[in-house]
Amino acid sequence: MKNKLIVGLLLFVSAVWIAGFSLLPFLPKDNSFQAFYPFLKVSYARVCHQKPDECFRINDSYFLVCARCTGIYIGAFFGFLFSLFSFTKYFRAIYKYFVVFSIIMFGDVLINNFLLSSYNKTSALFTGYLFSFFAVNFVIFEIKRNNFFHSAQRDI
Amino acid sequence: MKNKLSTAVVCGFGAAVLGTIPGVKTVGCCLLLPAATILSLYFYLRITSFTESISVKTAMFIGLTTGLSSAFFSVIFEVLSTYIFHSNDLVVSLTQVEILLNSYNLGDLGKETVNILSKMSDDIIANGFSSTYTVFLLFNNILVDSAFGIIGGLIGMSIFNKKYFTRL
Repeated sequence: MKNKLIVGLLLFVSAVWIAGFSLLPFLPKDNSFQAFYPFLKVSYARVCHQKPDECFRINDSYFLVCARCTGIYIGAFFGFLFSLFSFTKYFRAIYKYFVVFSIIMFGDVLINNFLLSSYNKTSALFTGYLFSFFAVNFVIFEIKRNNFFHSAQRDI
Repeated sequence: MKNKLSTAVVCGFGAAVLGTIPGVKTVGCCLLLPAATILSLYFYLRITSFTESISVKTAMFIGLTTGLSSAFFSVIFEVLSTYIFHSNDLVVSLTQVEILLNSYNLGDLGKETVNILSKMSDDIIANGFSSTYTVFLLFNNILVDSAFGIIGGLIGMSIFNKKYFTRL
């Protein structure tokens, strides 16, 4: 029950974080929240380069984070949602998925930044999403398995 | 305790330095700080000779301290560069932001936002320092970096416990 409460809280926090960088383009131009745009931009600049050509554009406004970060945060949200319903415990090979999708994402980072002349937002979004989804599930699986306390040289 | 703090401060400093390099930030993006925390955990394991697995509490502590040190060092770098050049991203982009907010017809709230930003910009141009901007930046960096540090700590804990302390 305590686990679900914590995961539920993390789900809420990730939803608020996603709303922070993606909500403004969907709101009317005269909505009061638009006044927070400069402050939100500075806040998200701490964790993303925010290059306009690498960000999604909706209603003539850009998201405040790049396509890869968008995928990572959405993936984290669905990762929390997935683990909230305790599906993770049936997912024993989660570490392998995490490693595979980490390699795929880092490969995509290298290809997009150093090999391709134009940035592929779709691949960045999906590789970021898959990496984050499995990272969240892997971490929650490990935390649950270690039962929130220190366990030296534990045999599983 | 000393081991945890020293690795966290070193890696936090490294993350703050790398965060100022535009090319590195483009590639590292939001994974720069979690990566620094994972490295910090690895150094901690090396120092303790891989004798025991990492607890959630230790991972969160190292993540938090890495995030905090990164936040403090990055603010120091930002304040120093702003003081030297009497300019920063806020000053450069103010005109565009002003035009954008005025086009939105936000009324008093929009005007108030522009006033706050203009005051910060004027202070930076005149003195090379704005206390409001520094406090905002410090508060923001502490909040964001701590969260991302803790996330990195938990990812690192999961990886290292799985790799070094699990016998399947």
